Order: sequence, then structure tokens, then C-alpha cells
Amino acid sequence: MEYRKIEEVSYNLHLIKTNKFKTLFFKVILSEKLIKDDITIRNLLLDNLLSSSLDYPTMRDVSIKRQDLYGASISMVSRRIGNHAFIEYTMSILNPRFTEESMLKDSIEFYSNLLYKPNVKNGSFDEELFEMSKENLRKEILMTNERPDVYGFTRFKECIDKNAEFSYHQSGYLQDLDSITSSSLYEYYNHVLDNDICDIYVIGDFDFNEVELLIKDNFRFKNTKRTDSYEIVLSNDRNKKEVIEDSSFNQSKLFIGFKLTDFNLDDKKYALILFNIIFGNSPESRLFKEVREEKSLAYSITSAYRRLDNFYYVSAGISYNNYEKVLSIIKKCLADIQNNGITDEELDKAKVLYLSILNDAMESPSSIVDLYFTELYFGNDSFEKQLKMSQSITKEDIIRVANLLKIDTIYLLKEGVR
Amino acid sequence: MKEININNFDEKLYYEKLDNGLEVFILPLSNTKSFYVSLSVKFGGINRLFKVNGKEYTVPTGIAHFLEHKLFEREENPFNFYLKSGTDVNASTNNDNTTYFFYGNSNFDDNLRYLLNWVTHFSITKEQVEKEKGIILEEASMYKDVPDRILYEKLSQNIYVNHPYKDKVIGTDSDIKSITKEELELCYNSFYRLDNMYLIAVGDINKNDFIKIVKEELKDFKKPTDEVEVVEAHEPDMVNKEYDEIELPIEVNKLAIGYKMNKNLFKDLNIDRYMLDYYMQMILNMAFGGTSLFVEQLYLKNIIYSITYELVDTNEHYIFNFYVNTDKKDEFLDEFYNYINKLDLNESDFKRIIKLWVASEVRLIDQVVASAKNILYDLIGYGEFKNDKISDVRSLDYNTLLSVYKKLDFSNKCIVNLKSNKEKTVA
Repeated sequence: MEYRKIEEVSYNLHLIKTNKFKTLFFKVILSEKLIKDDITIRNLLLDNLLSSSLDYPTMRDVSIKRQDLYGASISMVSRRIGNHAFIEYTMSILNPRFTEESMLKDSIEFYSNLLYKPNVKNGSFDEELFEMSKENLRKEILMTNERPDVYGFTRFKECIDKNAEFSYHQSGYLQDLDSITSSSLYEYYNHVLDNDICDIYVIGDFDFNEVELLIKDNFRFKNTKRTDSYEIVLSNDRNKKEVIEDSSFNQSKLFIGFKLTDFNLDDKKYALILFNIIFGNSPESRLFKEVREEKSLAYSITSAYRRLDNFYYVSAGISYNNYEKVLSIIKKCLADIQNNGITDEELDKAKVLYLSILNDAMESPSSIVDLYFTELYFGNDSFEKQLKMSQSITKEDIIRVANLLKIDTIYLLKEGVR
Repeated sequence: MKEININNFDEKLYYEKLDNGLEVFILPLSNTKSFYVSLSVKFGGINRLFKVNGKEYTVPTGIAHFLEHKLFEREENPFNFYLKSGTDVNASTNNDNTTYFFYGNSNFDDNLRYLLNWVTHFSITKEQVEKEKGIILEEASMYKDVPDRILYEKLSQNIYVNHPYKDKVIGTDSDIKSITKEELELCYNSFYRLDNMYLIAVGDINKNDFIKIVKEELKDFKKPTDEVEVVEAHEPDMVNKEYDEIELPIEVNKLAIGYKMNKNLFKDLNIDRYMLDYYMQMILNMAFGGTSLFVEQLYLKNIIYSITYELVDTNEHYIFNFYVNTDKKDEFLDEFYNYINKLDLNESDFKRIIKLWVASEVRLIDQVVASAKNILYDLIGYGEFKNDKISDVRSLDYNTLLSVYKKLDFSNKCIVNLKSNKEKTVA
């Protein structure tokens, strides 16, 4: 695999050449600091850009063009990572050597067309499509209340810290949606192209110069100033909480949160990941074995965290009758590791699993791009360093991080009638 | 071992049927360090009524799924074993089969030996059966909060009168509670036989080493002599229940429509099941897929939020199912009934979708897990792997498509309406 980074004035182009795949994969990443008031309009923008452009005005036109490009798969997704908002605009095409030579240029031009030639007239997005996308987003926002796991998780995060970016509603807010117009959306579109930082990744079997030229001809951005802080800082004055909320769902969802603010970076990158595998993130974990296998108190029980969000959590789907019991078993499992540590076998297996997942990341175009992207943006370590660091964690490291975890928030979305 | 061409690609499929009846499929891929191996048993939700040496048995709903859970009960259980090498292991049960699989990039030989040993041995106690009930009941409870699943399960229940697709794979709560150790053992002994299984391996695999290990591990198994016969119930053309409504705490109303058509309608076209499935998929894609003007209009007029379609092919019927998110049920149904009788099927869309399907065959061979699932899908559906799909797809004929369309009969329909019982909230 050969990697080349080309630093353009207003974006970086990363070319990863490999003959491992039969596809070419492109990813345009646009990011800026997350602003709560912009979440809704940013989501609305994606639908408007993807469903039509000036040259392909109807959804059918766009679909026909994608099919003509031998099934080019195109998506635009909005994601929060830490305290930043990301737009990930991707395209995957069959390598032109299987289809037609002209497909490389045609596909890249189409990929660029949807972004740079929106269906806009007189400073406004096409009214009919705009109204449609607004209604769609309204439904999507409403539907986040339909799933107890999604709804419960958001409520849980709000209870940890309602000012932290991780508690913002990912789909957006109805109040904000109502006030967006087809022209204010166009203004926001220009803001994104003027302000967002951009990196473009291309991976597959291609000629470096050919792809470099095509991307340069078809993409341009403006912002050159990069930010480098993505970590969420939790408010200081938060008390330990236990919150129970009623619902009409069938099954209760339990969430237990722990702060990660006393952890150092390497602990969050390695020791905590291995701890997490041992504690609750595998079918061999303490939580799975005790809560599910031994006591039959849950089907789904897991633990997880996102380093930049600075909190760790356990979640379980349970019956309300068993709430106190499940809570006490989870606490006992944690205390057990804190006081009595773990076995060599548990640590070895966790290391092997980490290694296996790392190796698996080399198996798909998008996960390879993610390795480069997270290294550049968030200071994740290189493949080689991750290998070395993860394998050198000791049992003492695991006990140490376990003892740093203290319950901060407990949230239960209580079932209604069973 | 037989070498089978796949679409004239460089990659080849290898096949062997062992003396004990096990059918083995190996697809070595050189561009990957991963491997995926699955052992699938032709036992699923549909096998509730069967005969063993002429004696008839009926087992509760959910038993195939329950049995899958109990297969994990072993002294060194699959999670213990596979996680030692960081290999992912799991199983899944659906209507037609139960599949046990592992996915990883190290320790291949032992991983394979374990899989073969695991699925071919079964022993449980009454206590272990009782303990599992709590876990599966929580699993079932979790699914009751997934509106799309409720919609799908109710539609299945109402379309079919006798066909086992009408029952939930996870089973009803009361059936789950009633399952006994003896029933599990009966199902295991009747269906978990090597001549009722498929072994599929894709990825970084040496085919000769592979078949050698398989033969070694299974050398003591002979072809069983019990005669097991699945009893198929005749399914009438009429749907079970034409209209049903369920109230749930959802935000957006959902609707499902199923059309049931007797396969005899298409008999005189003389098209085999496999090719006829392609024509049906093509009709649905052209009429309701990404290039559908009808669907686009529904979106633009804000009549729907989303629509998906599904083709089901049973022995006696074709079923077209549609799942829609809509708060304008009556308006939607008006437009839909109008359209269904005069579908828009033009030739350039037809040709373009063929091109699309050919391209996706090339993409597929790049993917380890998807390739394995594709092989299993053919085996379960057609009894063999269809190895020349690119030619088959290119042989689809537009006029034949129109003649298939003319035979479609939309008179037997079933509707399920999921209504919100919530006060609309402001997020």
C-alpha cells in the first residue's frame, strides 16, 4: 500500500494506492466546531444536496446517473465526533478497468457536481424538494422517540451534562426546523463551503497523477485554518444523579455513566479499551457472564465509551422488577476488578481481540481511510504503534483504570405495561 | 473436489459432497487475510411439523432459535474458545436455516475443527433449558419495542393461513416458556444431520488443507438412516386477515401491504423459479426503486416518508410486500392502488438495472462475508449455487418481463396499519 499526501492551499488530498479492492473509494470530509443551533440546518442540507442538482434536477435523474455509472454508491452523512460536526461525503465505484475507462472522470465529475452545483435558483434551493426534505427531517426527528434505546441514550447523556455536545440531539430540533427557509439553507450551504476544513481521501488501484489532477480540477475549498481540539470538557459542578423516567415501552433501558476526566490520554487509548473488553464488551466479559449467562437478567448488556466524549457507560435492556438486582450486580462486577484484579487469561484474550480488530481494519476501504483520518485529526496512533502499545498493557494498568471509574449518573427509562 | 467457474472471474468455487452427505463449498480469495466459515443447518422457523420414520411431531414456535441458543452450552463454550484467538463467533436463526459461523484472521485450522465438532454434538440439562427462558424472553421483549419488526411480524401472521412463515422465529412468549429438553433433543436429532447441512468457507483459505481437516474431523459420521420429512401444509390463496390495526407509542404511522399470488398464474410462461424471481425483482425495482417516478411523487407531495419492498417466494405463492412510513394512509392507498394496476416499466430502465446488477456481481466477489451469504442464499432457495449470474441477468428479456407483469394479480391483499397512540411530542 502506498500513501501520498498532497497539501493543497485549502484542503489536503490523501491518496492511498492498493490493488486489494475491486472498487475505488472516495471520501470528502468537511468539519467545523459543533454549534447546537446549526445541527438541524446541517442535516437538512445533506438531503437537498444528494437528491438533486442543477444538472440532475429530479431524484430520478440522480438515480439514473448513478446507475449509468455502473451503480456508483454515493452517501452524505452528518456525524458528531467530540465537539465537532463532520460531513462525510463518500462515493464508491467499480474500478474502471472492469467497466469503462471514461468512468473515472465521469464519476468524479458527478461526485463534484452534486456538491458544487446545487439545485438553487435566485439564492434559494428548489422549493418543492426543500419542502420534501424538511418534512422528511421532521419525521426523522420524531422517530428518534420511537426507539427506547435511542431515546433513552439521549436522555441519559442529557442527565450526565445537558450542556455537553454529546447530549445534543443528533437528528436536530423541531423548533429549529420550522424556522429554516430555502434561502437560509442556501446561506448555510455557502457558510459550509467557506468555513469548513476539508480533507479528501481516495483509496484503490489508480494512477496517482491522474486522480490528483481530477480531484484538483473538481474540488476547491476556502478555509485553511485548522482547529486541533476535539475533546469535550464536562462541566465541573455536576452532582451524582439517579434518574428514573416513565415510558410506554415494553422493556426498560438502564444506563450507568462514569466520568473519564481523571484519565490520561494513553490510558483512554489502551488500558481502558482492554478493560472495557474484559468488563462488558464481549461475550466473555464479566457483565455478560454474570448478568446474562448466570442470572438470565438481560439479553443485551454492554459497556462502551468514546474517548473524546469523556464518559464511560454500561447499558442493559431489563425488566423493571430486576432493576435493583441488575444495578447491584454491575456494581459488584466493577468492584471485583477494582479490588481483586483480572486473570492473565482475561488480559491475553483482550489483547488478542484488540489485535484481531486492528488487523480487520485493513480489510475494507472505508476502515483503512478511518485509520489515516483518526490519526490526522484526533491523534490516534499509527497501526504499528497501536500494536505495540496495546500489547504492552499490564494487569496493574487494568486495575488502575478500573479504580478511576466512579459512578456519576444512573438513568432508567422505565417500561410501561408489559 | 469440483472446480466451479464464477462469472468467468479469476476466483473459483470448489465443491465436494462428502459420503456422510455434507455439502462443502470453498471460495478462496487472494486479496484478504480474513476468513469466514459457516455451517448452516436446514432447520428454522418453518420446520414445526415433521415426520420421523412416519411418526408425526409438532413442536412449539421459537424452537429453532431456542436450540441455537442452547448449542452454545458446552464445557468450553464457543465464546471461550474463539476469543482466545480474537475470532468473532456467532449464530443466527431465520425461517429457513440456523447458521453457526466464525470470522477472523488467525488460528484457522483449530477454528474449523471446533466449528465442526461443536455443531455435531449436543447435550443439555433441564436446568440449562429453564435458565435460557429468561434470556430469550428479554430478547423477545426488546423486539417488541421495534415498530418495524412488529409491523413485519403482524403482516406475516395475517398473510399466511397455514404456512409456517406466519409464526415469529423467536416464538410467542407462552411457547418459549413451554419448550422442553426432550423437544430440543428431538429437533436436534431429526435435523442436525450432516446431510441436512451446508459448510461454506470464503477468504484466505487453502482448499486442500480445508477439505482434509473436514474429512478428518467428520470421519466417524455416517449418513443417518432415519427418514425425516417436513410436512408441508397447503396454503390457500386468500389471505388470513385482510385488515388489522395496532396502536403503539410511535411518532410516525406505518403501513404494510402484502399481495399474495398463486404461482400457477405464471405456469404457462414456462420460466423456471430462479429466472422468474429475477423478473419479479426487476418489476419491483423498476416500479418502486430509485428511479421510480411514482415514489418520487409520493415524496414530493409529502404523502410518505419512506417506502421499501420485499419479494417472498414460497412453494405455492409469490408475495409482494411493501412497508411504508406515512401519516396519510388513505391518500397513500388511493395513489398506490391506482398505480399498482398500471406500473411504469420502460425498457431503458430495464437495461440500466441489468447493467447495475452485473456490476454488483463484481463488487460482491470483493467481500468475504457477503459472498458467503450469497452462496447460502442460493443453496437454501434453489438447492444449488448459481454460478453464472452475469449471463443469467444479461439473458433477461424485456418482452418476457411484460408478459410476467400481465399475469400479476393484485386481488388478494393484506394491510396492517400501525397507529400512534401518543400525544404528538415536541422534541
